[in-house]
Amino acid sequence: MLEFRNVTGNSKKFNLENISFTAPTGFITGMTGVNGAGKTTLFHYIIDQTQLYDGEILYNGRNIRDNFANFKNQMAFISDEKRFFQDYSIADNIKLLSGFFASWNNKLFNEKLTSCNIPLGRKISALSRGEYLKFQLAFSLAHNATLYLLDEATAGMDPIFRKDFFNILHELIANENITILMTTHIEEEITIHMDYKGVLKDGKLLSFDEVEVA
Amino acid sequence: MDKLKKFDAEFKKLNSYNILLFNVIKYLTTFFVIGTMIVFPLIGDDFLFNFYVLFFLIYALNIPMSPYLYIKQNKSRISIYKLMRDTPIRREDFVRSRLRHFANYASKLASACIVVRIISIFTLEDPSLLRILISLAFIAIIFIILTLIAIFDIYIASRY
Repeated sequence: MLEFRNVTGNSKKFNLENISFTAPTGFITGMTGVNGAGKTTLFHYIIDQTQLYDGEILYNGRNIRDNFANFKNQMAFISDEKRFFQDYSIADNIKLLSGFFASWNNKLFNEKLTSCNIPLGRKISALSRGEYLKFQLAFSLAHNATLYLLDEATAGMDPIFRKDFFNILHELIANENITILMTTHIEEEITIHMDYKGVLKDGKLLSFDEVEVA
Repeated sequence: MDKLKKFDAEFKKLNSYNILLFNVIKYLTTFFVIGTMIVFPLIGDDFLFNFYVLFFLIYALNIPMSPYLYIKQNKSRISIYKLMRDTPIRREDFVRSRLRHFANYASKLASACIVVRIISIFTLEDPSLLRILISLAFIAIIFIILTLIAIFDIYIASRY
């Protein structure tokens, strides 16, 4: 369970103001809002240790900043941002980065990648957008993440891939103690696939409700 | 920290050509700096010229840290820490490991510079307490500025 308690940013630039909500375990929580509403900033408060804010962000009842390295062991951030070593192969990235995680399951990673038909020898920069997302999902599963943060992950996806992608997410929350928080622009995604919905505007959380089943 | 050591070892293997190139620059710079200590600092009319040499040395000495902080990707220089940011590495550990790397290099080089300078004073110049003190101050200034630059560089490179 991910919980924001009266989080207000202290940056000189754009800040979130008094954000409070709970993304429960076993559900998909969506955050929506126009560009510049604060969706990506919300993620940065979670993943970036240097972001300053008042209030608390708790994961499973513990303040994420109390043991940030431990929190990062449990967290997966999935976006189309150019992270990882783009000019190295997937296998080389795994050699470099897997050692940092407390529990890394290489067998699971290889299985997931094989099931997506992505070769280990391919450079990250040569992956298509969809492959890059699948690679990140496989990476997150292999380090046994329990909190998935997906920043506009489905933007630009074709409908078939989007359906596959949500099937993977639904499988995840059905089988494990997983919390998913994602941002999206697509209204249909919220009504069909998400359990809770928050609306951000100008750094403020306008509403946060359970999504009514149509 | 052990995890970072393993990362560095693996990174060196994958980045061997680049690391070799930087090592060549590092050794050339090291020999050049130590060689400079035979003559500099100049004492007398040419004293001002020391400052040009001083800034050049600081610039040259900064180069060898680069492959441990940045990598060239998509034709632009990107911080290694930024690429590892989603792993459970602590920023403090990254900063500490890079500072340790810098301190290891800089302390050895500073010691070599002091030894060469003092030998040079006693063999090639007229030894005097003032000459020794000015030389030590010159070397101290180089390494203090260099350390400040390294700290700033490491701080910038380890931001999210």
